[in-house]
Amino acid sequence: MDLFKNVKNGFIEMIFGPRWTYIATVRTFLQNFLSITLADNKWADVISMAASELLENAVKYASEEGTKIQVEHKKEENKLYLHVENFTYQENLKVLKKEVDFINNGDPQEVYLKKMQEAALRTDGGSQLGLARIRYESNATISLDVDGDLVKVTVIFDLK
Amino acid sequence: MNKFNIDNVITEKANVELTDIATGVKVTFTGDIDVQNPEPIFVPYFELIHSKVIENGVKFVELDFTKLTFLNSSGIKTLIKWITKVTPLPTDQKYRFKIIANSEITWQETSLKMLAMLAPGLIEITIK
Repeated sequence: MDLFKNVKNGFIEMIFGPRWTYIATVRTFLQNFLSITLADNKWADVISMAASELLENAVKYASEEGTKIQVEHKKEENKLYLHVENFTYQENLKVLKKEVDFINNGDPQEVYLKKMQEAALRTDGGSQLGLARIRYESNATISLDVDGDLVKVTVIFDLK
Repeated sequence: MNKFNIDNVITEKANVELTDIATGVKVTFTGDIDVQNPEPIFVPYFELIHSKVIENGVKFVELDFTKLTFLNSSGIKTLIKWITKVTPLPTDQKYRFKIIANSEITWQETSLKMLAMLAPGLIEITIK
């Protein structure tokens, strides 16, 4: 009983891979789970899409094994925190920091459109659309915590 | 089969099919597009449709996403590459898109609306 008394916020944590094959499983689980927890399919869809995009980045840019995803529903704030953590290379971190700055400092729609125009010209496998898509589709805030080669991307959804 | 004799694209979780319609051609997307690198699968397919559409003077392409439950951003990129091939074409070769979206699939309304902004005047959206 003590376990339940101490839990103020809903919390999920998964550690795996990173492997591409886990992503769809995690996305589907979150979508199903959150559609019950939040009683709003729209948020469940958006948050599971965001998790999927962040996990894709984690797999593409990981330097070693291990990806952690955490979902925390802070009921009093009516916010949901999505964290994805993985190890990466310093050159990837530089690109990521620049991306997050660009995405946070512009109008979400204009930034997404600009990233789409850039994506049309990209010839590598990447799209660099994921973070701009998350921001545009959810109006969430995105932040980074870096500790050596460990990076944590946090997306905060205001559920109000 | 369709008038261009282009085969469907079938992946583990998605099916993309080209069919003839009275006004032109229709591309129907079904399932989830979430592969790591969809470009080698979809870009050549869309380029083939694009060149056949021009060659045959087709002026209308319908893109039906109502049965597509998930599309990752790399998949969005393949559509962007197709759409942005049409905008620089001379007027006599240009064709129009109609995107059909499903209001019950959250990402469709937002992300597909943005595709229309890439090529103003060339894309209309219907949300069912």
